[in-house]
Parts: sequence; structure tokens; C-alpha cells
Amino acid sequence: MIDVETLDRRIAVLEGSEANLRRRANVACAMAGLLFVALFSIAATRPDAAIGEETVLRVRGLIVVDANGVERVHIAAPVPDPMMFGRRSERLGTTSGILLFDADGTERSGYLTSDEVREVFVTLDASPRQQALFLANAEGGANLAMWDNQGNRAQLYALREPRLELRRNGKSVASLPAKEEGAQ
Amino acid sequence: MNRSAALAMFAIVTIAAVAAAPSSVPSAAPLVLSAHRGVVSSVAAAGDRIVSGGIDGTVRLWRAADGNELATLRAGGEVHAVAISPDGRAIVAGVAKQIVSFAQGESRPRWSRDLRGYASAVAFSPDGRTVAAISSDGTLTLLDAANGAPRQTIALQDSGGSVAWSRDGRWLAAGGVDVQLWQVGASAAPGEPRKLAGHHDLAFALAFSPDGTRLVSASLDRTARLWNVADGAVVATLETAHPTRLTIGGRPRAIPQQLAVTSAAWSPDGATFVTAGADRAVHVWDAATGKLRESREGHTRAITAVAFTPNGRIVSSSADGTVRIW
Repeated sequence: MIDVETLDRRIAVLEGSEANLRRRANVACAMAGLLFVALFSIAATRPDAAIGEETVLRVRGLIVVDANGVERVHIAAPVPDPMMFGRRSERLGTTSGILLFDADGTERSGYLTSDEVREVFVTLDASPRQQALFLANAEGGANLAMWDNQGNRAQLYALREPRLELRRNGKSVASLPAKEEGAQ
Repeated sequence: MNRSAALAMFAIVTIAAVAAAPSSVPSAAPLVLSAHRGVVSSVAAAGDRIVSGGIDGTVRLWRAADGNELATLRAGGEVHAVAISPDGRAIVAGVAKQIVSFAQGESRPRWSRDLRGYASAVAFSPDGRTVAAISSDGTLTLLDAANGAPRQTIALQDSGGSVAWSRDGRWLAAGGVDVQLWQVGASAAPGEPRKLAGHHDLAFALAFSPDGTRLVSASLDRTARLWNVADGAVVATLETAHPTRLTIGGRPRAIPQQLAVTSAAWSPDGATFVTAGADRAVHVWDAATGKLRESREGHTRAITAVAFTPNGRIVSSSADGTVRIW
């Protein structure tokens, strides 16, 4: 026979054990929940999940800098105004595309389209002025021009007909086909 | 990590930090100040202070004697030009399309003023009361140094690259492709300018001799010119040839080339002036003869500006991210 007092003690012990088990079960549930969240986060941020075939980086600009912090490549729409030995000046018109800069941070090349006149062109620049230009008009026709370091120019252009021209000191010195008398 | 290993690591880090700090003892070797990130566009000096501005958007104040950095000022944009007042108490900076002024000991701008174009160059008048600013659109603006109020605006014929006052305040020069020269009295507004023609590209820097009789201009046309202020005549055209590697017919060759000249400054005693630019060297010229005395090399990228401290030390800023005190 078990007396009432002993029974009460055993019930109290069992109730304590139950409460203990409930606490452990709650902690286990919480841990499982956190583990699930963590695993879900890791899965969602895995590189191969982010860089799928359908992923597109959509930005207005991208700047690549060298180890000295100098901007060397700039992809943007529109591109910024020209930089030359640490100073800026205004660019003619609004253009978008790719710019390359030398180690001095001076703009040396661009592959660009123009909003206003709708040209697409490649420029190659000395430090600091333009030396070569290859350009196509939206309406048809193209232009290839090169300057020497004295500002003299060789130009091949095709608009209504192809033409080759050499200019020295601002004046035409040779032209194919030959220019008519008195033409500049 | 145990305690002895931690102490050893601390000692190594401390020694490295001390070694990296500027030398506190001036020596024959230049002091190299390297806190800027990216191109340092400009430098100026007055008293025992040097101020530099960078594309990193900071204006930095240095002590000329030992190269210690005294202050870093956030300019709020790319800094293209700086000037320090003759008494060293005020700094103005050309920040993108603004002129921003700082007072000594204050980190926030005292005033700022919009320009029509990008700030190319700034200069204090010798009395420190007026700031001349020239912008890329070819506008020369004279501002009250105390509050930035515009006093006068002058349109140049072409884009603007440089501005300078003579030490006696009689002359103000501004450079586009041509250099324009005004004779200004004490606090008088500039009248009609004299045009100094000869450069084929932008005059990027101007500097008067201490006696105001000569002006040197540094140009992107790869030359510097020495002008006689009284009549505007060219005294000398200064050229330096830099051995440049060119690829000709598929073979690299070292051929002497002239490169863009971006900066000029005159020594306080008037005996020499310096020019510098894309060839990365500071060229020291004899003011009396116009002959090249020496070239100092050390910068690893183009030099963007030069200045003299009042005690005759040359200061240069460069696209290599440093300021050098020679």
C-alpha cells in the first residue's frame, strides 16, 4: 500500500519531470526553427543561386579603379565629363558607353553613342587631346580621322561618296578624289 | 594567442606604423605625404602650411617642416584646385562646380559659391581679401574672400585653365589658350586685358616672378613660356624632352618626346622657377638665363601642381596620390 503522502511526492516529481521535458521540447523547437532559417538563408545566397543564367546586373554606371584608387574604366549612361590631370571640363553633348583612363586618371579612349546626334564612335586620345576618331552616323556614312602631334589631320570619310583628305596647318594639301579648284 | 605572442604582434604593428609615418626630420630626400587616395589635383603653400586637394574629395592641411598632417577637410566633391591665404588662415578649394572656403581650425565650410563650369584654378589676392576663380567654361570670377560675395565676372574668349596674382597685387593673369593680363590697382576692378598669344593649347598654370616683371605659363601644348609683363613679349619658350617608349614598326623605341606641362611656380627669391607635368619630373629653371638647372624625379605619375614654401622648398602634387616636399 502506498500512502497518500508518498503518492503526492511521486506526483510532484512527475510534474517536475513533465515541466522539464516541455522546456527542453520548446528549446529544441526553437533551435530547429533557427537552423531552418539559417539553412534557408544559406541556400538563398549561394553564388550559383544568385548568378543564374537569367540574372542581369542592372546599373547606371560601373567604375573600375586601380591599386592607387585612380579610375581606369568607366561604363555609364551617361558617362561623366572628361577628366584631365585632376581637372574636369564639360563634354559636348550627352554620351553613353565605355571610357578608358590612363594611370594619371586622364581620359584616353571612349566607345560611345551620342544622344543628340546619334553617332556611335571610338576615340583614341593622346594625353590630353584626341588623336584618332572612328565614327558612324545614324543616317549612314562613316568617318575615320587621325591627327599628328602638330594637329595635322588625315581623314577618310564616306558620306555621299568615299573621300581621302590630308590637312596640314588647317589647309587641305591632298585629296582623293581631287577637290575642285578653290574648294577648301 | 598567448600573451607573449600578442605583445610581439603589437610590437610589429607599432614598428610598422612608425616606419610608415612621415619622417619628422627634414632631409635631402623629399618628404612624401601619402594620405590622399587617387589623383592629388592641386597644392599650395603659405607660412608653415601646405594645403592639397584630391579627387578623393578631401582638402588636407600639412605642416611644411615635417610633413605631418594637421587636418582633413571633407569638401563634398572632387577637389580640382586649392589656394591658401597669404596669412595661412583661410583655404579656398575648387570643388566640382563650386568654390568652397574653410577657415583655419574649422572642419565645416565657411561659405561656398556656385560656378558656371568646373573650377580649374583659384588664387588669393596678396592682401587676402579677394579670391579669383577660373572655371572650365572660361569665366573668371572675383569673390569677396570673407563671405564669397561675387565682385566681378569676366568672360574669357575660350575655356579657362589658370589664374594668378602678382605679389604686389598690380597684375592679375588668367589663362585659356591665350593668357590675359589685367593691371589692377589696390581693390580696383580689372579693366581691359592685354592678350598674350602663343600657346596652342590650354595654359594650365601661371606664376608671376616676385617682382612682378615676368610671368611663366605652363601649357598642355607641351611647352612653358616666359613672358615679359610690361610689354607681353615672349622672353623664352621652355621645352623639355622626356625619353618616351614608342612602338614604331612593331618595335619599342625610346624617343625624346615633349609632354604636357601642367604646373609652374616661382621661387620666393626670384632666382629660379619650376615647371612640371606629364613627364613626372620637377624642372628647375634659372630665371635670369631661362636655362634648365636641374630636374628632380620621384613621382611615379604625372605632376598636377607645384608650389614654393616661403623658405624656398618646392612642393608638388601628383596623380600618384602623393604630395612631395623637395
